[in-house]
Amino acid sequence: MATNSPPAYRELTFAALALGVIQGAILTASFVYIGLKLGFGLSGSTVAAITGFALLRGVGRKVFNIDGCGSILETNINQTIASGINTASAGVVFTFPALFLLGFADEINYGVILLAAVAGSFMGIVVIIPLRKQMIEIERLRFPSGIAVATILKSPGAGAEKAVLLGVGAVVAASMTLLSHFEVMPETLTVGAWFLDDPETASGSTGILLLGTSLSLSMANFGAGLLSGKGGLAFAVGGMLAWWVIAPYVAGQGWIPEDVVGDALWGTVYGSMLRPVGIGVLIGGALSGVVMSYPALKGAIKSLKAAAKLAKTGNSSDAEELPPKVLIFGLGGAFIALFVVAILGSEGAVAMSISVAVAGTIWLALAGLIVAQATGATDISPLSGLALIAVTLMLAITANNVMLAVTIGVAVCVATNQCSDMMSDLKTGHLVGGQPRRQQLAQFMVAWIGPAIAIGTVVLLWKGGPGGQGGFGPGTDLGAPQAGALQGMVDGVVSGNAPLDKYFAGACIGGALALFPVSGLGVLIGLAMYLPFEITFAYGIGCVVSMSLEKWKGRSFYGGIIVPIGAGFIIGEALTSLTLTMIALATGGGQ
Amino acid sequence: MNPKMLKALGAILFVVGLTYASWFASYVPIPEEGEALPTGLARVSLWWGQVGTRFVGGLLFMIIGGPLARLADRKTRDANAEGEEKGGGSDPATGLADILSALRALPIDELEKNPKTLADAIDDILTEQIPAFLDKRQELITNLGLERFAEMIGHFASMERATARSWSALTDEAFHEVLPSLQRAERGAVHATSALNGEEPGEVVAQLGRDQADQA
Repeated sequence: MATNSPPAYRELTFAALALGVIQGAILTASFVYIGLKLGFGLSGSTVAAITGFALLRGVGRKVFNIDGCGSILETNINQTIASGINTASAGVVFTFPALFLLGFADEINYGVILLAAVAGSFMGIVVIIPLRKQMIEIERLRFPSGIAVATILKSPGAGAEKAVLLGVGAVVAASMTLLSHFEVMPETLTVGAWFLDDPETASGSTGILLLGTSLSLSMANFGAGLLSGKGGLAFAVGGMLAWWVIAPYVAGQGWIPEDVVGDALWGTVYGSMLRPVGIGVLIGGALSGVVMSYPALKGAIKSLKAAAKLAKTGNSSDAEELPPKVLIFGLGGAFIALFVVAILGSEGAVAMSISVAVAGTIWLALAGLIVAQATGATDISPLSGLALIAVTLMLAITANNVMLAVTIGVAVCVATNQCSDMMSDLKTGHLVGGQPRRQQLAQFMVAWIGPAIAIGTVVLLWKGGPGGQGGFGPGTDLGAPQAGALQGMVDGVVSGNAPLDKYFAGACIGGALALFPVSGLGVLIGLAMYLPFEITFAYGIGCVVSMSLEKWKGRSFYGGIIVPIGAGFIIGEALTSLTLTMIALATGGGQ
Repeated sequence: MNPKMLKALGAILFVVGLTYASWFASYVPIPEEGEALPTGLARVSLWWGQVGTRFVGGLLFMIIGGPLARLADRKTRDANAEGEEKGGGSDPATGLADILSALRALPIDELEKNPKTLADAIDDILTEQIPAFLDKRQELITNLGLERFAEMIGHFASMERATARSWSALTDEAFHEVLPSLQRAERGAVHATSALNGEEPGEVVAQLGRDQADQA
């Protein structure tokens, strides 16, 4: 008698793919708009996880009667695809619009830009193949957003208590976001300035110490600290070092002109000193981190090969990872793509194009490592700083060929963001039992879509301006602040004003930080110097609260209480900010 | 010098060096009277000429302090390992054996009758036993070396992922997926144990679900 075999456990399915592509396309176009308006990108993972659940489980199962539709793993694939497509939005928005602001609108070869962005998108997925083992399995980086999304996915089976805590966290964060939005409460508490008679004339050591001490009231920030716990403490300590020790000293030594006071003092210390040194520390820390963890990387690659061998000889379901040759082909493919971009952008200069392709590929891999490590430890990505470095490097190699340098910058930025998003999604997958290979394959299938939509959206918005140009930039509703920063940097480098001394000194410090027995210390300290203190302060409070509660109440308290609440904070703020932005744009925030 | 004092000394030297180096890294070089701030490598030279020595001094403190702290950690781990050998304290291998035992002891026969019981037992492995084993990560790295640790943890992570998959499958009522996932988890745990003991992973005969298979 024939028996019906049960349906396969739904994971990589057409429904997940199709829905993920639709969600990803909508999110990409929306987030390009938001990125041009606000200057920051948003991750689509949280949104995609929630809507994916609702559509796959609710509609797929109950309306279309698809047995088992909307499983945890299927929804994980759906959010992986949606966020993988959307991730191009930040990478493109931080770089590509700068070409328009720099006056190159009529010279842009859109095919070349698209090729660069697509190459970056694939490269970002490929680079994390060996990094996944290193960061998720060996170093056990937390990836707070990855944990938050996994908490959403696991909520049906986690019991009512965890779901309630998730909801409570989300409501608290949503309320705080609304209160800030309607200016009932500020976004940042300028705690130090309370002790100043007149903040606008504050000067010297005391002035910068107090001006720099402010606290972000972002619950997402605090929630990321809660989820990171002890692992993120070095980041918070780095912020205190930067703003409570270094900044007062430099101001007190008379290294800043006396007439630079108030906001200008803060701006000088941050913009001319801490931030560029922080970028250098990030680079040096990442490079030395690679050297120090070389034995583990070797072990990770060995286990990749062993897994590939196991897949050939035994049960194919044991092949949990894409084989190492994908990494080699991917790197080779990206190199060729960057070479073609460089050849076209330099009108056939072969030697320079080879240099650009080599430097671009190496920097792309290194930047991906930095961002993955930073996101893993703190949930914060130094994407814009790394994009600035990429473009600076390319300007040096190409003898100030701005168009080519920014084009390569697009590739690097898209790749870097793809790295951090993919790692976060793989962390989610690890926690729910997803197969990494399927997530990587899913993302490979759709990697080309995000760049195409993001670039198209930017061009459309530019041409939406008066006379078919000027649709974004200073003085418009879409200020494009990140692209504006890149424009300023390019102008500075072309005129010779890049702070190379800061990058060099910071890199030396970053290298030395690897000597201390705390993993990723260079990246954490560099990030802390790179960011304003209000962010690290709030995050640090979250770390301390988490550590204290775990010590007092035990480990199960972390998993049972802290994780759902922290995840709720991140989710609540992200969704509320997104909704408010969409409402504003729909009701008159447009052109 | 005992490890605690050595660690404190290393940390102090390191932090002092980091602070000192960071101060001078932040210094913006002052150009000659009447001249503009130079650009490119000339700016680096000017900075170096003005504060380079002091900057290097800070770096040296870090270069001395960092390895001292690492040495202190190694001494502490060696002392702990010795103490555990003598006192029969908890050995990481024991933690791994406990996880394997817990997997093999899961109430598989409750799979469809009372899935929540099984889900809770799996959840206990995921949220209590696995993190407890991972707490000994640093000790394992010291004992095994990074390369062998990476190999072991790869198998461990496979076990972890397969265990999480079984929980997800239970929640989704995909009961047919649960036992194969748990058997993969068992395989991962056995391979991790082999790697921990420095042995080549051999063929694993699944013990999980053997009773059910015998009945079928």
